[in-house]
Amino acid sequence: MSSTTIAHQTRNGATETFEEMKIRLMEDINSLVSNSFEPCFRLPQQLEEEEHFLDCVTYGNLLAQGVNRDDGGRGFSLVSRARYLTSRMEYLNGVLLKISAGFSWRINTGHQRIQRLGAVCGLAALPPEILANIFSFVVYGFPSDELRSCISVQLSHVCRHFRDVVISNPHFWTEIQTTPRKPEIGLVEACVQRSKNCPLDIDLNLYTSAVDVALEPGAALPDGIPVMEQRVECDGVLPILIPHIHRWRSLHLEYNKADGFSGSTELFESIQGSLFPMLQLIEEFQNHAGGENFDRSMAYASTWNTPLLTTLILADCLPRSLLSVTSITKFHVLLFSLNDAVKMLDLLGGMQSVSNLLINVSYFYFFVDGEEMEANLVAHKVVVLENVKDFEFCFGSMHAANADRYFLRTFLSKLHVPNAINVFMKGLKTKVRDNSVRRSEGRLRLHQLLSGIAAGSPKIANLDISVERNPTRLNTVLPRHFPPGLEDLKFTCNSNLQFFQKELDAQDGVPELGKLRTLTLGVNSECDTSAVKRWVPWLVSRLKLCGGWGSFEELVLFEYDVDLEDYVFEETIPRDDILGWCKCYDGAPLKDGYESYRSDV
Amino acid sequence: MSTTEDKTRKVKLVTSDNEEFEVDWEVATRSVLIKHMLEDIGESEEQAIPLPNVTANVLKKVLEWCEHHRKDPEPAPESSDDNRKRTLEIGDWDAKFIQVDQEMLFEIILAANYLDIKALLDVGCKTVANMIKGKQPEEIRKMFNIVNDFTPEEEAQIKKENEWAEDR
Repeated sequence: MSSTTIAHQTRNGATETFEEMKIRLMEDINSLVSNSFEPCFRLPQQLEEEEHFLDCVTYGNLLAQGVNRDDGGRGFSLVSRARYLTSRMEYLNGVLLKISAGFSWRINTGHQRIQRLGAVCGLAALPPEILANIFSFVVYGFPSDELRSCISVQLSHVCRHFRDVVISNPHFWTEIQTTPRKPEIGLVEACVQRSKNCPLDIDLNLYTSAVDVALEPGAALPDGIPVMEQRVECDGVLPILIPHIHRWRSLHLEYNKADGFSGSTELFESIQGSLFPMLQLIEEFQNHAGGENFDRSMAYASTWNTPLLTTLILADCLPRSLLSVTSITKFHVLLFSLNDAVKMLDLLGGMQSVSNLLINVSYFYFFVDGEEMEANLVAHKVVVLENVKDFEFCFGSMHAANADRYFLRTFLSKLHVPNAINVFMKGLKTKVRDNSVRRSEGRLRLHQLLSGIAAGSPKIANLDISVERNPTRLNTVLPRHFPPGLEDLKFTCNSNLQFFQKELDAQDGVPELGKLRTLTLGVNSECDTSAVKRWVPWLVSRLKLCGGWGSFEELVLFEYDVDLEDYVFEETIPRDDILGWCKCYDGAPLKDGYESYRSDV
Repeated sequence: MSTTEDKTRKVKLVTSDNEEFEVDWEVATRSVLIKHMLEDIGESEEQAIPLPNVTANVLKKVLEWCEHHRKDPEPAPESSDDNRKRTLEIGDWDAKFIQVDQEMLFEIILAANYLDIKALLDVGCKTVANMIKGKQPEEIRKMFNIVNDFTPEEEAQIKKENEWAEDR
């Protein structure tokens, strides 16, 4: 049945068609809209009158006039009229609510439209150079886990204007990076072309695999089992880049296990002796990809002429020789083999321009027959690097806490950075390699390990000592040797702490601490850190002795968060409250069921 | 180099809708454009600087940023390497400051560009970059009501370029 044919009953029992009802509703709504401009809410006139009439009905009137019933005696007529009035108002309200709901949706969409048009007009109003600036944040902004050139490609696929801006700007195409074993050759070709003459930053994948040694069954092996040789291959990216060596700005070599991938063994042979006029940085991460006997001497670069080379960042490799070694100002190296320690000292001897030095020996593995290597290290002359301002030394906490600490101390004694200003000594909780010597780990005597640095680098202003241990119940002895120029000392440790004042004062004398401004301390409340309440007052007494207490500012406290494996700021204690704080400091382990680790005591 | 006298000096700025703002010299000179104009007019304190490309409501917002960053060091000149590692992170205050409607966001970018306030321009550009980053071309088109206007030949080239990424 069509809605237009539905008949509605009026209060008089008469019927009205849908069309009649629509007209009546429209009149009512018209009237409501007109009335809405008046100060108070008013119904359409007819409804107002009916409301007024019904509100005036009194008991006395009805007694005088009698009470009428609807036809058929279904109910009182006046109640029916009141019910009909209310139903009309409900119907009207229903219509208005429906209109209002429609409006709400449209208004919400309207707000979104304002926002969208703001963005659309705003984006369209931007001059191309600002759009390019936004794109450079999209492409080069970090954090990012996408290949940058792929982001450039995506932007160039939005519309012609975007494409013009992205493709005409060579800076969006200077980073060459590909997926190992599945290099995006077309993309590399486009990058090389679209980057025009801009310098290139290249991440190159190389692939290593063992060369099979054919042995006759039952053949005699007088020299033992022959050492497996390694084959290095490259994918199709390198041949595209070789004609552009004059544009190479940075070269990162990443070694991957070939795992069945077969490429070309022709690597850098064709560019031996070439000039790389823009090359500033070489990064090479071998990370054992080639195994123990792989050539890690960066022989490919030994004849390269790299006049602008200033940065070498290496993992598990050391250059045998580099033409431009004297121009290196930043040298970061992560080494695994004890055998490399002496080679590194030899190399460092020629790097007199280095100002930023990071050495990570935390993954060193020590063999049973390592004595000869250690003897070579002991015999090595001291390398002095006058220009180093920033020095970071990462060591394995377990090495510093077992018999290998003698090696670490010897190594540090062979490296002299007399003008260092910012020094970071970082003890890491590295694991013991399967084929290396496992020695029992005990107390980590930081005061012994760091004594040489403190004495040999008097200009250190910022000293950051960080120690991570596993398990954390191992004991670490708080440091007590400090360079005289020290201004900011930061010490963080996630393990038990110990401090032996009296006997050590007698042995080592008193450190000069006249310039210290801030002490930052990070401890693990799940460990026994009660030594802090003796160490801090001891530092205060040294400061007072050296006349530095007046200029000391504050103690900043951090708490080790076991879940985050990081330190979280706790509080800052002004100078004059420090001794009071020490008196209240407990330092007893908070962890339930904690047992003190006694094996190293 | 600013002098003590400069720091106490007031600067009058007049917007495109003829509203006048009086601000501290240190705040106004976050804008390189205003700084150069002040150098050009010399000591004349009465002379107002006309800013015909900025309306009052936008300038008010820009000055709020300049006031907060009045003590910041001068930005270092850009080098060609600057592009290579650009953080998308925005400081807490700036992030709250830039929570404005889209029209105002782009107005701030345009004003920062016109007034030559690089740090503010970067805050705006990073905000838009964060809106775009990680989105597919179709999503970007939808966000900005951009019509795909590539010719069939260009579409063919784009299809070919898409295969580079699909190879991965």
